[in-house]
Amino acid sequence: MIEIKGITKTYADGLQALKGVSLRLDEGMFGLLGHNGAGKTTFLSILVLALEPTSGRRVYDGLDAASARARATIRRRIGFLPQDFHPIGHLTGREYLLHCARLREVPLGRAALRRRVAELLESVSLERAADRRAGEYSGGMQRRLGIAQALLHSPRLVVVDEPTAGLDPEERIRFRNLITDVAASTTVLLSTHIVEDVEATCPRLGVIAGGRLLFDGAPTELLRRAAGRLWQMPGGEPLPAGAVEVAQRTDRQGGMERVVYSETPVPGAAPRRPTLEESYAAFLALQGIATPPEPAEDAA
Amino acid sequence: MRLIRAFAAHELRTQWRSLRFRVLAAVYAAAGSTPALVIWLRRDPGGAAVGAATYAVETLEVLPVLAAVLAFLISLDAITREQDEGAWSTVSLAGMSSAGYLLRRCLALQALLLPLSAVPLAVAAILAGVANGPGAVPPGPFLGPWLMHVAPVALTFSALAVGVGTIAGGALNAFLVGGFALLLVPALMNVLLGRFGIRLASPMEWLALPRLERSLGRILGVSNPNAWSHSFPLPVSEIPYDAGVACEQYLTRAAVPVALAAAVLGLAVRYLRRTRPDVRPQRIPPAHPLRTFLLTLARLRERYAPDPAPARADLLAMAMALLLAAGASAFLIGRVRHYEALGRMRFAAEHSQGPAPTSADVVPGRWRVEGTIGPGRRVTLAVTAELRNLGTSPRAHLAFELDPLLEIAEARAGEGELTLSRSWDRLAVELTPPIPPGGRRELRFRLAGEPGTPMIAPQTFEYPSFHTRFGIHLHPRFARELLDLSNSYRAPAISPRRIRLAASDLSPIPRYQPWKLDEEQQVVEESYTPQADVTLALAIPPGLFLADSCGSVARSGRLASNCRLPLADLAVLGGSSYRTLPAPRSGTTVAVYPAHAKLGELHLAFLQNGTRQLEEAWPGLAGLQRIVVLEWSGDRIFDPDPVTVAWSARWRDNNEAPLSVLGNLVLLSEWDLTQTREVLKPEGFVAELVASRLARQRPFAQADSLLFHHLFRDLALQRLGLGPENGAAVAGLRPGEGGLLSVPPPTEPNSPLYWRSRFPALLVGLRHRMGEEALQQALAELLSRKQDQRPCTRQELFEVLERHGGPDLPRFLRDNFMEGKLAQPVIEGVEFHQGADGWRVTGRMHNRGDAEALCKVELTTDLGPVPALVSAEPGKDGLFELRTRRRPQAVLLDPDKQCHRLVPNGAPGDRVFFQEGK
Repeated sequence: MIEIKGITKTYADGLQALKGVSLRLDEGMFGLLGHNGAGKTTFLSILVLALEPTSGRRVYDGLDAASARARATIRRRIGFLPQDFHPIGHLTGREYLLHCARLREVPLGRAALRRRVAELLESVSLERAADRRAGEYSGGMQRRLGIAQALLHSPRLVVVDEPTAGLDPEERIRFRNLITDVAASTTVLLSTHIVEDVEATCPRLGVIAGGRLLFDGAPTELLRRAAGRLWQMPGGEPLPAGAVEVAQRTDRQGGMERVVYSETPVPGAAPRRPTLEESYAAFLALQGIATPPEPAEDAA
Repeated sequence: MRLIRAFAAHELRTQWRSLRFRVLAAVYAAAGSTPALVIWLRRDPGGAAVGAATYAVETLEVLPVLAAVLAFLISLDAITREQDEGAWSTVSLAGMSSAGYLLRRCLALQALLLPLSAVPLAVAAILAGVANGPGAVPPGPFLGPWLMHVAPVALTFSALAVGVGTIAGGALNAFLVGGFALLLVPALMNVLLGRFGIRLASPMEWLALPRLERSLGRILGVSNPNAWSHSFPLPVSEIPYDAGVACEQYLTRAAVPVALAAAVLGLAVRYLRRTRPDVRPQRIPPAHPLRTFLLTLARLRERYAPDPAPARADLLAMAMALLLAAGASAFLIGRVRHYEALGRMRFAAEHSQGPAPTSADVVPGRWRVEGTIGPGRRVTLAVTAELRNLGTSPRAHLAFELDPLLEIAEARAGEGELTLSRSWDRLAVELTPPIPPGGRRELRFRLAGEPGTPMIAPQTFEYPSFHTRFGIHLHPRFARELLDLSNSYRAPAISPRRIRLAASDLSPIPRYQPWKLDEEQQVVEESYTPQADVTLALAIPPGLFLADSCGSVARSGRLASNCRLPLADLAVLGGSSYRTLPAPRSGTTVAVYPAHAKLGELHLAFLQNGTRQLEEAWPGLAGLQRIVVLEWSGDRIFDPDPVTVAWSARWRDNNEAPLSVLGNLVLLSEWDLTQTREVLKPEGFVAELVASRLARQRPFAQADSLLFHHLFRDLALQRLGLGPENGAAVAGLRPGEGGLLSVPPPTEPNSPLYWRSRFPALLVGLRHRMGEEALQQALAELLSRKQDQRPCTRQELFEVLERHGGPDLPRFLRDNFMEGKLAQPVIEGVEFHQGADGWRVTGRMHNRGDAEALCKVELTTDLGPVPALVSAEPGKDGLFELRTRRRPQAVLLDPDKQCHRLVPNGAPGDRVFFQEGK
């Protein structure tokens, strides 16, 4: 169990990135949603001990990160895929994983370690590129290698930042399956822009914005908050009073539609069953935090 | 260990795949091997044999700098690559401490760098083996400097790069931090240390950058014929390696860079950036005019703040690193203090010019030295010295010279009491009761220690005298005038290189000359060296070749001899690396380095007939029995710059002898023995032997010993037919050199032009004026005057010569020897008159010089010459008139070259040819 209490972070230039974030993570998946600049990466960096908070406590299975001695143990228990992950370019994928395994002192014999590496490479579909230099990998392949290294030493906490960025749909699905398997016995924190990934894998999610954790609960809770309050109206019409635009989308005829949030029915608008993405956008919009409206195909 | 192996394997793999590494490694190997390759291609440069040590030394001229650059760049690349590539955030997520990570990275880099750093030396060793045979490649000259210089340089600069690369967090910034650490920090340290009278050399001196530059110039000069083109390679001594001395020299230079690298690496533990620290934020108002700048500063502050919450291992590593840095600094300062104390002792002794010397009335009698050489560099000696008072007054005060590094365990007099006082190499003894007139006293000393010479802040070009250098150090006007005393070292008398136990390393030697400082602030050497009946009995370690100046050679672990000899000539020399050549008929023992055995046989073949030549040069001297000829590498074998030593050796004056003589020991210079194009001239060898043997017949005043040495040597050479090419005439001078020769015989050796160009000609002139027999008689009388044991002076020589010479000799001696004047006669105004009774030739000999000219003028005809002796005072003319019945051909001045005179360049004015009608 990981317990984060009242974490704040103010950078040297005065930028206040986190304002008292508290979170308790148990085994299983936890999705972290937040727009750019919300403080997600700062939070993750603090979580993986890459950044020192200004204040607050971090306790990992009873080990307080304030203790220098505990940090070594905590580091061994963390698997991390940073947003800007790059492998060591001169090594092949296999060599890179073996090197990481040795650095992290994975308690396996040589043969077992090689097997473990081969399994991971297969699980991220890199078995055929395993002996090519990682520097020659495409962006997607590098991310898959990054996922493999994060899982290599069977960590107690896996923190993945935008893991599916650059992956093709098939790979995204494979990743979701893999991470869901891992989460059966591990705490996994998935930070992403892609709400669909969270929806598919996370029984619990958090929304971070403006340095604060604004929501911590099940996705259904977020859906429930938006249920009966989303409306779809033609794109050209003015926004009624009290309504907040959540999204713009194209309808089946190719015209523009607006999805708006309103506590009361909007004249001329049809009620809409909310998706998690729209619920999340509505949640942010209600907090006064604008997310850039992205045109999306109507899945309904 | 498993982790270190993993790190090493990772380093080898990633570096080998890196183009940057491959290029750097190839450049290093190629550049480092270039000197050896050039030597190998040149084979026989300058007519000297090139041994394995030359391959090693010339390679080592360039290697430290190259190794430092290679180690710094590769290590910097290694430590910054993961951060630059963005792999750091995952790589750093390991359980090990920051110190553990850095240390392992450092060690892993050494697994790559150290073997690589040895590649050029390995190439040099292979090429030396190919050129001279595998047996002629001793490992010492290659392995020793690599272990003590190249490898530590690579290790230190690698550690420094890992440190600065970590602290700076990027390659470019690392150069700034590195420059700060290597240049600014030592300079600031020196400012601080200057307050305590200490100055340490820059850590960059460890790399010997000027040597790289010098080496490049010499190598490039090979294809461009000039003075430098003959200086590559410079064959250095093949004398064995002394790891102990090299260790002292190298470790001392390493101390500052090692301290810096340790400190930087220690600090780097806190800058690994596994966890970015939290620093106090700076609130910058949005409208602040310097907002961008202040924001940048704030980010830099965050970037360069140390990592938070260091692990215990990190703190321990930092403490260890700082302790190592402090230890290295303390080691250096300790050495500075040690050598400063020695320097002060020496300076005080030299400054006091005391104690009073021994009276010349007190001479040595029987002198027995017994003891043991070894173990290691140690000697244990028991000296029984008998002193006789030949004077008319009782003598209580005695003064001796003794190696300052030898301890006197016991000193007592055979009769009465003895009080000792010691100051550096000076020993004063007060006897109670005094030695009565005509009496004798036996003194016994027990000595022990490691004899040698403390090289206190070794000589600099500007200030060759220790007294001057150290005096400036004690009273500096600026901090830069302080000496870096940590560079001092001890040149041991007993070393794996060789054993050189001089007289004062074996026994206290009576001092008769006051310990005054000469014009160059050097202590004047002893000039009065009465002979003693010396008995030597030393136990020596097996396997050593040792000989003493009586001419004995050690056998069965024992060196024993008995002879009469000036005590100052007492010496025991040799070493473990000598090989004796088959004994020549003359009974001489010849010992050379094994690598030079064939050359030794070639150069010294003349020793078969050496006794006959010695008799020819100076009748009456004993033969060559009991003479021991040793190959000798000079006095600067411990100099840390062997190329400069070799360079100095090759510029020896032509007239200088290739050997020096100590009693029956002849030390033949290694440089001459390794010449392959010219065989050693036996005349020079014999002449030097003559000079030495004659010099032993009487003590000579110190100021005049050089004159007598050249007198005997040049006379011997002239008798063997190696007189000067121009006879008594001084010719072939460059413009301006004439003035340098118009001096009396100099008292110090640094006047090569005089001894080479004028003195041999002056001797020819003297021999002509006096006649051979009269000169021989005069010198025999001079050398046989032993009754009062006083040192012989030049005045005494002139007085004896005057008595044996003709009436015109006093003027010749006064002008040329005492006042250093030089005649410069030319013939002018020559007229040929034909009369009824034949030809009358008139003219004048004009003397442009400042000495009297007394020269033969000769009219040549087809029937033979018509001579006349003409005299001309300085600035005046001497007229001549010559008559002949035959048709004249020419008028010649001094055709036999027997008149001591200066021949002006360009217009010698010494001949006028008869031309019909003029």
